[in-house]
Amino acid sequence: MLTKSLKGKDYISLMDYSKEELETLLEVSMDLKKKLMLGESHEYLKNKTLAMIFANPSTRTRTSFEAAMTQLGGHAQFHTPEVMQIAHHETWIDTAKVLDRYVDGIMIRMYGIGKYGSARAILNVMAENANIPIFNALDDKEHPCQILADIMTMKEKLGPNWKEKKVVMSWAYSERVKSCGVPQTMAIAASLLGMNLTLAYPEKYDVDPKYMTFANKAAEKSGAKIEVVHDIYDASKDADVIYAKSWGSFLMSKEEDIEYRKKFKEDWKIARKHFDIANKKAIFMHCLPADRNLEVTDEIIDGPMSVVYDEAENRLHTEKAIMALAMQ
Amino acid sequence: MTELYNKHLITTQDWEKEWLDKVLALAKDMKKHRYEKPYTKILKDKTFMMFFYNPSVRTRQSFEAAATELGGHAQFLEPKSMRLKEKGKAGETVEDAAKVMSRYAVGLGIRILEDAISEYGQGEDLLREYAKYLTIPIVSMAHDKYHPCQGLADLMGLQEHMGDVKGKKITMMWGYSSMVRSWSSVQEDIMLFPRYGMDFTLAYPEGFELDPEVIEHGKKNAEASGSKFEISHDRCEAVKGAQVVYSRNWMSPKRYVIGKEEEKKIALKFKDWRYTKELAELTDNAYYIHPMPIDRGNEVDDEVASGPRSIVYDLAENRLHAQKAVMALTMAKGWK
Repeated sequence: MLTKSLKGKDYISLMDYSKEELETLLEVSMDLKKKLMLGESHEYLKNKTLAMIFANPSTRTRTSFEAAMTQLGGHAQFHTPEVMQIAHHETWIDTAKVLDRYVDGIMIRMYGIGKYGSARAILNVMAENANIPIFNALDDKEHPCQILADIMTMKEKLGPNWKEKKVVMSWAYSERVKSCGVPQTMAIAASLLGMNLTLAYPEKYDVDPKYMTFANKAAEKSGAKIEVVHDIYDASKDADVIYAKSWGSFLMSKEEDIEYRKKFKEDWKIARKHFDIANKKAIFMHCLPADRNLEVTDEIIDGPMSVVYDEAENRLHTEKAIMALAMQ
Repeated sequence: MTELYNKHLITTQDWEKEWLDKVLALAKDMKKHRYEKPYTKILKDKTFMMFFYNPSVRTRQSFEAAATELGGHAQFLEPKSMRLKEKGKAGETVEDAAKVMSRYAVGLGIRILEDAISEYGQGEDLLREYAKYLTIPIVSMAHDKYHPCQGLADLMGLQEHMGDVKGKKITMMWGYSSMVRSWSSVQEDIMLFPRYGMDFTLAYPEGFELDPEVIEHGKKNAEASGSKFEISHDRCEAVKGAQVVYSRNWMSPKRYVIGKEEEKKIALKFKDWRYTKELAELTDNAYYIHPMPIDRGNEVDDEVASGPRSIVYDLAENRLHAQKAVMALTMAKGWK
């Protein structure tokens, strides 16, 4: 826990956060969850406005951010600026400067707009040109709002020694080529907090090496254990968490990837057989939306080991903490 | 009295009459004390989700204003921007969306009409599937079969103008329009008004039959309340002596098979089915009602729709009050 103010701090990359700052966010999230439960007023953002810019579709992010602002006593505006989807820096600079005069925070979701990193470049341009905080609600590199909710869920479910528990973030089969924001952000968060993370994926699904370099270095300092495994059964053994998430390869075109991944369809669909070799009390996680019976079987996602709806709920509480601290 | 908290409202037919009476009484009181406590605080800090599979003006405005007036907030959502599962397309299942919405919000409204489905009944099925997985209440904001909030608003308006509606004669008359309109509003009233003892006459040109199951409900409800239920294909006969006339277009059952454009051609043959000043003279100085938007000059003469017996704006306003009452009773408790 940290009392240094996070006011005005952007939430774009977890690489810009310290262990203490992440722990503060988790503590505040938990506190806000309790306040909501007790019906205690917590209008920390009364009369404040959040602009939400959605260049890509979303359910959870939209509904949770908008509900979060309502609960904090403020208001969220929904924007889908078709014209703003062009990676045109002038436009984004102007948008940032003008929004800076109207609102108290900007949430952006943007990915898949050209080559890897193009969306991040726009988020950075926005941040440079606005004094108000920018919140990354999934870009082409990271999904820091999701990861904070995931870690809050692990903390709640795994008990006091949660940082030592074996968390397996597993690549999973899907017919769509999806962003690698989730595993990359998880590697950063786990390494900063000192967690025990296994990234499991078939050959050729390596994430951006910059993230692994950062994670390995941060792990030295925090004592985190960060492992990479290419066999899902090896990974599942003694796991306390199996988190299924599909993502695309950096080494292939989309079309090649769709073909190449077919051979992993059965082994990498999280099912009973994986939980049979995991720890008895292991839990299943997924950031949703789930491609049911491709990424995971119905039996698992609907089973007693699944915590996916608690995880989705925690999006709300963690987003409230991120905004309450940055927009106050 | 049964607790209405957490009850789904897909059609008034699913609800006991005493529950509906409770909603109507609260709606009328809310209309009187619109900006007074406790009504302005019932949904404080709370979120109501609105899924619009089809566009809408009045429904969006009235539900969003309802949430605001109750102290909460309504989120306007269009499933096309939500990555939901569709036929042959990967996406999120109803089960997952419903369970997550239950964690964020206190209520969910869904609007889904014929343009968003391929077969009659699919909209209703979708609502019932959501209802199965939600732990918060669902309210229909109009779907292919029913429109419970419109029904409640209509009944509330008639009660305000006429007192007890028992024994009063209402004629629901098909009206020409190229708008190819939904069955939802008319079917709701066909079931609801006879429950409250109104003598109901349904008039339409042959070929514009509605859901036989709904007609059956209407007849049974009339029987139970001791009122009359008639079907006529002669509009002059049908409006004679009516105390309320409801003239509105609806599509034929063929719409789902032949499509909207072909359907328009069928309706063209019945352009003379318009509620005119001459027809109004045959009535017992009838009130004119319509759920709006009105196709003036087609469904009804301008001078009738804007005439002294038209109460269409009162009914439109009542949407707001009726919806507030439904939301307050099903989505919150402990505020009384």
